[in-house]
Amino acid sequence: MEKNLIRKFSIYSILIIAILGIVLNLVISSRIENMVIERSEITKLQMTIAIIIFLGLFTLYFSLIWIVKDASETIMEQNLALIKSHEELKEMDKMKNEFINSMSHELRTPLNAVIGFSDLMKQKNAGELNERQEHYIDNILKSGKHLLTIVNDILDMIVIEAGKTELVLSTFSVPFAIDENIECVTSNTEKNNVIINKEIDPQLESIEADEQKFSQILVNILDNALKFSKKDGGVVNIIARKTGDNAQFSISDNGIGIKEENFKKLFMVFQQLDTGISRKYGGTGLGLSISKKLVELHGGKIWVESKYGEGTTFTFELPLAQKKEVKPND
Amino acid sequence: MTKVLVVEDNPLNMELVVEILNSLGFEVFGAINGEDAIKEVEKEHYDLILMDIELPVMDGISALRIIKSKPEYHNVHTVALTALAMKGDKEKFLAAGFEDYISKPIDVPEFMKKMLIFKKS
Repeated sequence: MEKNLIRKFSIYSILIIAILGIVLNLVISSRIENMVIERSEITKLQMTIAIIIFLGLFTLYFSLIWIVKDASETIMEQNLALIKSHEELKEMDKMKNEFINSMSHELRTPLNAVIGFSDLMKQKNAGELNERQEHYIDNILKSGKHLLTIVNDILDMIVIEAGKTELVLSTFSVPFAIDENIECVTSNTEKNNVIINKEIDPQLESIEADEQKFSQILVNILDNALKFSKKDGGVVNIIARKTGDNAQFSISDNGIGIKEENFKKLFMVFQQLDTGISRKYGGTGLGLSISKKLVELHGGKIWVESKYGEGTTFTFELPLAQKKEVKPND
Repeated sequence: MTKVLVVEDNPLNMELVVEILNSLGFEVFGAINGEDAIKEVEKEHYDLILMDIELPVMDGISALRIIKSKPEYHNVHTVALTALAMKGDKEKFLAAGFEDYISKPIDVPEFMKKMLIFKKS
């Protein structure tokens, strides 16, 4: 309120000075035109002009001071508010990190007993088991491990969404990484009869990327391909090639395929296309969305092509080298 | 026999680790927090300490620091066994002076393999 008054006062005073100036100018010029001014009148006029000029300058000077002071006060206030909200955001960020860390800890602690004891029992550490007991223990162990995957995936997702994921870059061999990841998925899967073919462009020797995250992407997609390929005669093809400044990786299966209207849903969090799928094939529904985020973090892209009933191809493309700009730390 | 001190505040997880180590032929003792662990170490000679990090009274890192500061315990092997498994945690505990790091939930066969390395023949 007070500020507005000052502002108005300043503007009005400038206007008044301007109007007075104009009036005075008219008066003087009319007198001069008529040439009927007396000497005493001239002195009076000069005095008046001097006073008006003095008053005008005086008002102008203080108006300007007021305006500048007023503006700088507003800026100062805005700065303080910004500093405060920055501090608040930092504090909230810290609290969120602490929450994520303790959530991770609190979820893992009971899972340790669930997975550990069922594993011990499965290993007949507590004596022989009959067939049904063994089956039950297998179920507990499998569910415990599944829950652990979900916990890991959710935490990954939270960290990625919070923009806290940093790439640890290194240059590594593409053929070697592919072999390693094939071995990783085949040792975990029950579908050992699926044939995995690979075709690697000899020009694509190495890539600069985050090796651990590259593996996470490839394993996610390979896992899916294995999961959804045919039970008998299942074939998964991996094609890696160099396309300009990028490395392109295509992983195709000859499994159930995906309807086109569902392509977009694939990369969304917790979207398994059919609730029956998670029962039949397992998985958390987070794998592909995590892969997409990790690919994008590298400045790459991922897409899907599929014919329903015939098979699916996932392709991701990563730049061969990362741009050298360093991301600013908060 | 190889003597192991398990520092763990959760009774179920303590039981699990003790069972596994017993089955592998270790002599196992327990402590429920960092302070308790220091008292134990002063009483007995241990070959290996499996230390949880988040503990009441005194956490695992502080306890390790005190134990490692005494020259008579320099040859005791120390492994962090913790549910703190976010990015950077492992590096943090190794930097604090642990020889190795195992995250919970443990994979029993893998855990057994790691423990056997510390077993005196």
